[in-house]
Amino acid sequence: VYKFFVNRIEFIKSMGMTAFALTGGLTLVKIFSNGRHDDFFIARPPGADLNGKFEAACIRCGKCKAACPYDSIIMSEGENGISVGTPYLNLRQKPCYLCSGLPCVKVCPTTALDHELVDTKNVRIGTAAITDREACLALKGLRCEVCHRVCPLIDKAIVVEKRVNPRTGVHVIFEPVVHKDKCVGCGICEHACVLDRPAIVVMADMRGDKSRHYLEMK
Amino acid sequence: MEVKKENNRTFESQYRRLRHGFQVMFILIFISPALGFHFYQGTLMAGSIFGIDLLDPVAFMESILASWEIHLSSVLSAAIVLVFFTLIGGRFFCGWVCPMYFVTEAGEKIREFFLGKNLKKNLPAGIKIQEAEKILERRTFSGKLKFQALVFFLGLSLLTGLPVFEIFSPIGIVGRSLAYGAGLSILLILAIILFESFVSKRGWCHYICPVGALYSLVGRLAPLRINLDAANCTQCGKCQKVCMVPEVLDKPLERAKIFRGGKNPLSQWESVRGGDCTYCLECLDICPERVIKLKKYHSPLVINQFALNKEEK
Repeated sequence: VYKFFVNRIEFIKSMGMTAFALTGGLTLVKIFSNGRHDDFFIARPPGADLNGKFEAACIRCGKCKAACPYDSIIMSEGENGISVGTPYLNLRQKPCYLCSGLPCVKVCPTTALDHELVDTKNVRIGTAAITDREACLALKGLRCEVCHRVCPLIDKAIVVEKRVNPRTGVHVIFEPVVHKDKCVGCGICEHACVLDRPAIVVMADMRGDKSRHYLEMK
Repeated sequence: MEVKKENNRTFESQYRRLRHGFQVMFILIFISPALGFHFYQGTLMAGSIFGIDLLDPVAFMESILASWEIHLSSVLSAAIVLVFFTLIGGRFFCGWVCPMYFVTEAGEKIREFFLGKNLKKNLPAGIKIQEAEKILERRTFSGKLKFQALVFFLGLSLLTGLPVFEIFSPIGIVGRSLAYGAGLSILLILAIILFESFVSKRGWCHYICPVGALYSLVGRLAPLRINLDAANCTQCGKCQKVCMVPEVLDKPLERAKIFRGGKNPLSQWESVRGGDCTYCLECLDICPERVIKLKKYHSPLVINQFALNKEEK
């Protein structure tokens, strides 16, 4: 190393080059790797730890996409600020159908997708939530409950609770209620919602660090 | 400055045809899932062929440095690749497998288009021919730059907690574009083509690519090398003209010059040293004396410089 830097001009030159490369490199990183789950929720393939670990380990190889039999996994090209080359899911278009054995996790060559995840019940892509209570047909008093019917964990993750419709006094509101400890965030409900803009959507896993309320923080 | 068109375009090498065949075959392998075949899954970064998992060693290292976790079976898949390319010759990967070859070749084509008789014809108004030549100059840098880039990218992965090179790796982009369709990220490839055409000939592969740097490192252990018959070489220099990495032939040619005329050579076969040879084998074909052969590595014998100087006097 000493021999390499023995010439002072060479040394200054190489330092300059390093500084230039660092700036250039970091700029490229900034451009290509935004969307680190701090700003908004991105549905990643099953087993992805959204608290930075996924982004750190994912080598953008696309094997999970190749393994997905439903072609649900999309390789990002930088759209919507999702870092280039990383896999994500557009649950509204194509949800995760939770194949037994989780082929996408199995083929992952790194720890980006948690290889200890075997049981599909333990998948946590996110958590479904009825975000638009005013639009939800079931809450309006109609017999919809499509999200409940299509849920792979029917009566566990989405349960229908009945109560009297106060508007008529005689009818019943069949309200779909998501149980966040059971919901895997597969997005089949979001995919199936009959509204133009789904009333039920998958959001960040309620138990993750990023979605904790500041009052819970120590 | 040399503006003369290289004569390697008119020369047809059987090995070049074979190599192009291999490269096209690898591209077809990457496209094959889209065509309905299922023996290969993945891209060039990581894939599995007939159920055997393969992983790019640089991506493997970056992922570990960034996440501080190892997926144990990936150690094997990265080791398979590394050992294979150590045995067959490190940058054999660059010459025969990597689809980036076609990108750099495109850049080279653009450069040649401007450099040939088209230079005068296409000259935009207000630009002198010397200036144009200066833009198209083949800038060369230190060959050590790629090793620095390898250390730099690995260090940056450690610092940022992101596999930095994989984020914008053109090998990854080309691979993903082939397997899953191209997107916006292909712009980076276009940028590299421009870099190749107007900044440095095959500059990406020579000075930046950390994947090539790693294969160059393991290539130093390669048992099979391009060998030059020092006793019979006539120093015509055709091999260097056709070579993609001309500097690898510097040392063997220099030694051959010393032993010219078969004057009791210390070692008849002078091997290409370092790991930068891509084993394109075009020198084998172009050599008019047929003194270049693919043989086992002959470690260089030390020349007694003092005795040589004496002899020259």
